[in-house]
Amino acid sequence: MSKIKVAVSGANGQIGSVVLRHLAQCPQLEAIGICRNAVSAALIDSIGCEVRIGSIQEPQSAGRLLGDCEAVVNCALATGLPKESRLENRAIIKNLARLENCRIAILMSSVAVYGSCIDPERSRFEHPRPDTSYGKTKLHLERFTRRVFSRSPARCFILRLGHVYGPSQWLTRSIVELAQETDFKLAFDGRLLSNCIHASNLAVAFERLLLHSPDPGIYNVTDSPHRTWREIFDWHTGVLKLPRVQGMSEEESERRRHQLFRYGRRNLLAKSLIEVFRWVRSLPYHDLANSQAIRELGYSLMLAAPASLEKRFKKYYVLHSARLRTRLWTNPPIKIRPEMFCGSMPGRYLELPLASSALPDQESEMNRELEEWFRGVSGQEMSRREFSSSILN
Amino acid sequence: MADMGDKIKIGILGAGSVTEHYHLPVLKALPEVQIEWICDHVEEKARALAKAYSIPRSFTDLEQCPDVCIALVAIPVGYRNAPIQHMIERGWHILCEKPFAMTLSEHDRILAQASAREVHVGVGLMRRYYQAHLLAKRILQDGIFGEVKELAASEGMRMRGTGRQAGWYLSNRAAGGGVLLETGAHVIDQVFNLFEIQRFQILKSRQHRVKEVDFECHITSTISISNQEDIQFTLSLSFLRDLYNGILIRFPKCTLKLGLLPEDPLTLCAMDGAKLAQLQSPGGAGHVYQAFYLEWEDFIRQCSSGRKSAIAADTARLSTAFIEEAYRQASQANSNPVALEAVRP
Repeated sequence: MSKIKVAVSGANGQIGSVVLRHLAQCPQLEAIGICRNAVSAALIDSIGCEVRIGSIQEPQSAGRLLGDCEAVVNCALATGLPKESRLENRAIIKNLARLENCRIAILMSSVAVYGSCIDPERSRFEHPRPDTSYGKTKLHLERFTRRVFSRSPARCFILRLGHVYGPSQWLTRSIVELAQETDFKLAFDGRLLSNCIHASNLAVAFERLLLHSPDPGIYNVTDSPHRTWREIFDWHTGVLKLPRVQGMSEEESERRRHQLFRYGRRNLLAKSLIEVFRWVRSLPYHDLANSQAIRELGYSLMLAAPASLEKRFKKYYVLHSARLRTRLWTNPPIKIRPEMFCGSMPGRYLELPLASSALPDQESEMNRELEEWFRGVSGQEMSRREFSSSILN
Repeated sequence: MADMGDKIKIGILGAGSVTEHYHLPVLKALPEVQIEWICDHVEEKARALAKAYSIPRSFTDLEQCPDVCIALVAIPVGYRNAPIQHMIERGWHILCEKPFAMTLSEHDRILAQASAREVHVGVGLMRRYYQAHLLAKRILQDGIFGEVKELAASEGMRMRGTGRQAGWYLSNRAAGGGVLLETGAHVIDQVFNLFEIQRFQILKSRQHRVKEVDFECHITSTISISNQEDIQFTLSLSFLRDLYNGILIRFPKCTLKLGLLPEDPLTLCAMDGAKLAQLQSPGGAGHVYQAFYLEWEDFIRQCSSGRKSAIAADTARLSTAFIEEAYRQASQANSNPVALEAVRP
């Protein structure tokens, strides 16, 4: 049986490189990496599969790079100036839809389309309500993709990826930082479903999609079974021997979630005004109070005021100063991560048998990779680092 | 050479990203400076930047450029020989982006030619102006924590989303591509500048290369500084993996951690790694624009007064020599199959 030729664009990226590495090991697939320049190509040289260099934004170049591929996994995302990057991303999607030999196209969207803190009353599978520019971009590209591929014979899959974790992924970096901060508490003690997916599991999902090919359309993608935030955090802290993260009380979590939802339901103008007001409140008024002119003014007013008022003012000033200075200890700032206060993505999930459906145990490859990554970034063994064989392989 | 009259005339060779995002915004903020022209072999790039920053003229041929006081050289190191020679002959002072040269002989040749024509040459080693770097240097000079026991540095991040098209200079070793030259130039210079190193000896240099371009390297060496015995210095650089980005200086009873970003503080740690304090001083740059500003200010002062700046090119000779030697030893190791096998498990 001949192999399915599958191209992975953005093959050097955070997700693209993991996907390419996994697909290259699959015997039924012939994986091809697509990169824009020789440096990016060299970075995935160790995977050992074919790498083609060029831009898929240009129609002719896209045809040359992808014309013989039966499937394309698009991990490329142009970033930069909003209008410019939108046009670039649309060009990529149009070029993919024009490929004559392509039977399967997999494009990546994100949990961000539902909003930072998924509000079940507002954000639905068919009509998600993003509240960040990233989420809005992704939703725009989803709609554009559906329009363009409606005229293409290729089966198009749009995957709303959950929060991707694993070595070098942004969520893992975040979790490692948060776990080392004393003021961070895990909302609802982490009992809510996380919408997370390990990068390796994502690669397995792509493989299964290419080989089993369910009905085309939009799917949410997370670890299967769906993990809670506590499981995700405990895995990181357990493997990396970091202190277990404290949980936030149920009452506190509810209160903060209510605030997040209320904020999320406001329009952009209202949110902007709230931010302006917050900024005004944060201004250092004591600097103003200590300025020469204001002190002179205050002195003059005090002289003119009755004695009782002067004493009352002094008491108020002393109380206010004490309250201000001790606020740091009585109400320490707590880091809030909106995505940890909401539940799972609504709607349809990609239900494919995934290889790693159990929690990673201590001996698994995922643990080892995470440990190795952490040793590198934390500088733990900087002075005793030896050149590891993985570099030469 | 143009007279350094009321305004200092600057010419820019290279319309790449470091010019666009750093030098031009900072130069535009310097009231005593006037940018006369920008020159790049790609006409559209030169024209686009000239238009964006209201620079009167753009060129593709350096020989057509009118005289200036100072020329910024912001093109890959492998393409600089002829342009720098031309600039020296015309008597323009030169501020050259790092790395200054690929070999020590090239470095010295440029310095000798410049000296003969009384041309000042500087290198864009703006990390020397970072707050934490200046503070660490002072601490080391005064021996506040005693003798240095060990030194380690690493800088690495998995490269992704480069945004560059084919033909990017980093893919070409001859142009100056490679993690050791591109990334190592800064961190090696930081270490050498912190300690005012007199001598070094590289014990081991290993690189992972793809098509002759190094993407990861690991160097073990010893460095000699005055008033104490030699220190072991290990350096790791990578485009392939995320590494700890910083310099660790171990003393008998504590460690100093120096980050590589301008806003990074200097952190004092106990022997068990616990963070004790973040040290900050008022002087120096706390932002990359401030660092570029201080660099330009210092070099302009060197050109007008003759007083050597912190980035005078002769102060970077040892760094160039270190990088050259590291490449030489790595080439020997990489081309020797026995040595390579010895590193595999």
